[in-house]
Amino acid sequence: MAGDLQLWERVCSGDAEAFGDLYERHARAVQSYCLWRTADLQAAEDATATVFLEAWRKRRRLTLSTDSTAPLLLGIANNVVRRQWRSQRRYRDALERVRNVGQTPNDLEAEAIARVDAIRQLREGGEAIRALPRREREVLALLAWSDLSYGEIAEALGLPVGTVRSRLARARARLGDAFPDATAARPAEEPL
Amino acid sequence: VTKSKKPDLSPLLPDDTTLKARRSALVDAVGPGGQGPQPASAWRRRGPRLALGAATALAAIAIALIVSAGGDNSSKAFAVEPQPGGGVTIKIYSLEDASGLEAALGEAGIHSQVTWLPAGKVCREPHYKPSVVHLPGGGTFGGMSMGGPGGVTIGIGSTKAWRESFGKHMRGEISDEEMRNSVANINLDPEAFRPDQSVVLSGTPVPYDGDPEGGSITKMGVAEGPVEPCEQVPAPPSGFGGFGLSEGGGSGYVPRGNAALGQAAIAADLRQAANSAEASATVEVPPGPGQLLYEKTKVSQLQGWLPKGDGKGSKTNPRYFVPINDPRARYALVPTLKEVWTAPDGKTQVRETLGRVKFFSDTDQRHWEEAGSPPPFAYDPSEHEVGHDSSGRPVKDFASKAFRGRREFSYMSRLSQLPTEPEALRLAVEHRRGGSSPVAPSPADSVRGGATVERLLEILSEPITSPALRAAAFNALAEIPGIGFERDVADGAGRKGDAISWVRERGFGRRFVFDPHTSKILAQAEMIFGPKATDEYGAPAGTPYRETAYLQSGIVDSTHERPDERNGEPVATTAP
Repeated sequence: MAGDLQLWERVCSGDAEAFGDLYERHARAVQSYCLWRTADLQAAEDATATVFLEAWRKRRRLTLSTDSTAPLLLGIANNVVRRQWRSQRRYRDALERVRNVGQTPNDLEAEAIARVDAIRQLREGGEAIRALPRREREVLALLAWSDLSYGEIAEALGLPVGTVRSRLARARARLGDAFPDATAARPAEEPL
Repeated sequence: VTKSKKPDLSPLLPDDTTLKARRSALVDAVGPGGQGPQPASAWRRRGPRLALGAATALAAIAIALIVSAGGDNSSKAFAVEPQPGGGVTIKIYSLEDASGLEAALGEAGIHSQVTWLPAGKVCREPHYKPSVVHLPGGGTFGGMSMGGPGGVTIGIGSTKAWRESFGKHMRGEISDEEMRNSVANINLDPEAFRPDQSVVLSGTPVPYDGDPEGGSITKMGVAEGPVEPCEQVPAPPSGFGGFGLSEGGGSGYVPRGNAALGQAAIAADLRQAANSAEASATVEVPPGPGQLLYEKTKVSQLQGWLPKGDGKGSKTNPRYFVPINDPRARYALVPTLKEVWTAPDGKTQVRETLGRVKFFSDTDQRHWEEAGSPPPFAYDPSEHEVGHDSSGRPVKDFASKAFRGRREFSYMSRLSQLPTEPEALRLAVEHRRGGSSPVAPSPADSVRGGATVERLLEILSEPITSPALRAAAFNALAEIPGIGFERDVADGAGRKGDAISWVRERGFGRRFVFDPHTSKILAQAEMIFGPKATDEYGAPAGTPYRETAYLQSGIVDSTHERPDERNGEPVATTAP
């Protein structure tokens, strides 16, 4: 299987199938992140498609520094979520097409219930982070809700690693006990 | 990097089939001949701050839209574009350049006063004499409030043209999007204004999407005679100035209850519940190591079904129960007795027992029986592993890997850290810090008040809460004016209690039934309260869309136990 670097090179040269491979590889991670940010299934699905359309449109301006497109895609996701409506208008037609395929069949009420529960958990679980000021929110959201490392978060947001750390420290000070457990352990595990 | 447990998002992520299908849709879109991402048009490049959100509640005079004030600051505050049928459309991108907007409105024939306020401020009212304009063709316009995940566009043109577009939209001839593009959120017809009438527009940033100033809200009124300058005063404690919009931009909570019950009677019932809570000797603690939390609920869910069983399914196994959005579906209420054993690590063992399906007409009931009383999809033995209990009812036992955030015991311990003084608790659920002076509770029909009522009721619905916290929650509710309240309401298990309810949108609402004598929440439900929901689901008003009736909870030592029958019959072969 081709690595992300090779795939991205092909994408840059206009290879739509390589783009499709990239989508299959990262769509769920992007959607998970968007779900956390928006706590809304429809918004997250639209945002996910928008992220990829945006990546395609800007492909020539985006370069990969590691063998993963995840920081790049999640960086776009961060912007898309922040001003979702804006890029969505641009991609209205394409979004319509993506939205209308493969909709999860709604005939299992257990699944529907699981979805409702999951959304509720997202709402509650992400509440503290979503209430942070934007700069801290964006850093902490990537830390808590993606698998990116500190370096990759810095890359995704176009920030120096030191800034990522200081924003995180501020978020921790602000959240206190509400600082998510999932992330509390990470700084120690991963010396910078 | 190891991560601690998080809610299982898999129900919300595309399955493999969907992923493949979306992949090819995307590849088609970007590939040769695809519609592809289109370059931004000129006005989009200017950075419009606003697009319309999902909520276009075209109510009598209140249209709800939010101005998203994020993004770069280089863009123009508003843009004036000619309308196809004459007149102009003014798209407001940000709450800046008030005098420029006044000039633009004036040029289009509307006298106005525009005031953009800092966050948390409103104009001292009254600063003008409110009036209404009589629209050609009938109707009046007296003002409105706007907010929502999107923006505001003011159209200035003939009412007739606006009505035509709106009619097309209502008849489904044009989409929401086309409606938004062809007409404004609001139309001002210069011909309808008398010379002494003018428009008074004010707006202020409000929290949106977690950003304290991520959105904004605007208010429009019609004035008669002179308009005094806006004197800025702090917004009322409801934060949004009683605009009746939720933080997410949706429509507000409309309390629904017995109007004959006065505030004093409601508060008395709530205080009684608080007293019963306080008097309760039960000290509920989360399960310790090796213990489990047992919860028994009756879940009634509205489901769709087809009398002919011609839903998507194999020939040998026709499918009767179908997605609720199937246009041909009839509806029925499917009750499930649900027992859940939750271990401290979040793993659960679940037993679900199908109850008696309820139909909304005798004809439906007969058709269902004629079809051989087919079971709901979840209990269809050809689709799922279904057993039977001693009385022959279909039963499903399964272990759930899903991590249940609300049943996470650290969540419960956070609950235990909530203040047990009513006002402090209210401020805590409102994410506000108490000051030196008391902050009056927002009424239940305001954004903040409605959200507070819901949060307090959800705390009360938790299986493990201290008597002091429950008492504080009920006492806090008793202080909130305007709660929708009814007495003598039956829950899905037939128990009677008081109910707190409110209507949200499209006739859907929420209802919590509680017993004031025990302080227990008996049931909570998403309800079908009126049109459009009643039309949509062919279910009478007062039908739950999904109701959870809380029957029992307690701490047990194994999945073989229920609180009332220690050492009873094993209900599961494996411990979670």
